[in-house]
Amino acid sequence: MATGQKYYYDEIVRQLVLFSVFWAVVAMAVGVYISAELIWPTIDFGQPWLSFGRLRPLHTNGIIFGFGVSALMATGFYSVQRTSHVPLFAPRLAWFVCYGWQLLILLGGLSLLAGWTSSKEYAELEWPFDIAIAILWVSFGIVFFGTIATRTIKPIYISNWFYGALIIVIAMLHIVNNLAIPVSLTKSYSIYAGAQDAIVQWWYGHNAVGFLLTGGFLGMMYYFLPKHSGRPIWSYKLSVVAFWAFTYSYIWAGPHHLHYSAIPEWVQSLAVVMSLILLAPSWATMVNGVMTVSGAWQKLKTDPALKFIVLSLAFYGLATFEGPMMSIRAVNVVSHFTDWTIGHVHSGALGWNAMITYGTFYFLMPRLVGAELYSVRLANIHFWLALGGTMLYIISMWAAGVSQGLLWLSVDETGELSYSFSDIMASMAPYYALRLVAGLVFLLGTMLMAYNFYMTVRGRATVKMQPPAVDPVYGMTSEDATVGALRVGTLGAST
Amino acid sequence: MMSFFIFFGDMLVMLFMIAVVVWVSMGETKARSDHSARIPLDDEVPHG
Repeated sequence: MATGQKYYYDEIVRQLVLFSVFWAVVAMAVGVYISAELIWPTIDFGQPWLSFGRLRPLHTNGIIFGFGVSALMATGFYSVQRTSHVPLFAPRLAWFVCYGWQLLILLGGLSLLAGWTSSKEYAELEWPFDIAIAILWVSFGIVFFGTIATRTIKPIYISNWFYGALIIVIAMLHIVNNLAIPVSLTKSYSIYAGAQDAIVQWWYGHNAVGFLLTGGFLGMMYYFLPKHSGRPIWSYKLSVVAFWAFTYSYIWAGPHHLHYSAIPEWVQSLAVVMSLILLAPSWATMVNGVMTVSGAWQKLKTDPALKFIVLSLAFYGLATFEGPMMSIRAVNVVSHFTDWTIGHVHSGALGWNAMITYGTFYFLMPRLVGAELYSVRLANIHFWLALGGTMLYIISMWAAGVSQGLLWLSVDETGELSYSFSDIMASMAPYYALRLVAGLVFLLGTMLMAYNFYMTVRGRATVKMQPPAVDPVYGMTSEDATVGALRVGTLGAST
Repeated sequence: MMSFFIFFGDMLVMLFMIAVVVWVSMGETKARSDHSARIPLDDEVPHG
């Protein structure tokens, strides 16, 4: 599979970034539409494919798998080549992954509109798509790990550990969670039932958040923050310790989605404990990121890309504090089934995932074509729209969620519920209107970014970059290559 | 009782894992660690 090519394959990175931006606009627009449906329910016009039940999974799948995974593939391919000092392994397979994934998102999205669904949250696609995901994901893994295996320097940089964990764990989660018996081309039934099904579902769901939306994007942060700020990560050792602590503790936390349910109580308790422990590696990572920028704060005045990345760290810290707090049962009894959860999810999705991706893309796109960004002013406007939209979204959903939780728990002196469900939902209208405005503001910023990128790359070819000379002290020897290129210590030592 | 048993067992396993990582980290030379940290800063040159 060795290509003999001496320069990095960045054309594929450029394509994946553009696809990611495209899906961001589409999936966020769908999100805005369904938020409007919660205010004006009749705007589905009686069409099943426009109903909330079909558009909501289209929104979540489009954001997670269209926008998010395309961004992770782009940045993963970009960084693994450079940190391994070799061009991509099996570039044709990488192109297959790139276009195959986009086709999957397109057809999968249409299938959701048609009403095909397994009804598993964040895994709604039916079994033919599940098989396609598995094939594409394994191909992604072959390209990624093949590049690491053919590297010319001994250390495996920390970002690659996070991207590697993303690929391995998501493969495991996807296959186990989607084990099902097909009864037709468009319908299958899970092999799990009852409480067991719920545990598997949230083992998948929460760890998809953990290893895709957190771990994968931490890989992005660990590469692009030092790269862009021009400073090495503040504590490399802390990043390694945080990686292992994160990987170990996250995998246990899923059942905190199932408090007060039929699953064993000790499983719920364990999930609470592990969720609280997650605070340590999460905040260690945030501190590591912020300290990396210390000394380069002046760049924040002029550099929108760095502003996005640093702000994303603040939201990362916020979301990773709030999550463990919400896992505590006394808090969860208020927050569960309310819009507080929606606010929490979007503080992570908008504040952390989207912003670090935007910052990375603003850094990446001009470099890929060897040009200045078309408009720094537009990027700065985007920054304030993104920040304003995110804050408005979170605050409106926090207020709505806490209100819902407290009102639902409220009982009168006879023990009867003080308020009916419909009364409480009717009182949510102002919050939902604010959320719609927040979504529109955030979407507008994303569209500005798409226009900015279009004008930046229009008519320009991708710049060719090649690996630097390898320091002989840290270069791979022929013995290293034959004994096993992946045999390394946690800090990259080969022994 | 089972919850506490699993909880303390997990704490011990986690302590062990972190101890292993810290121990391995301590075995690294500063020069090697610094080199690893600087990889993104010097990983590309213009082609040709």
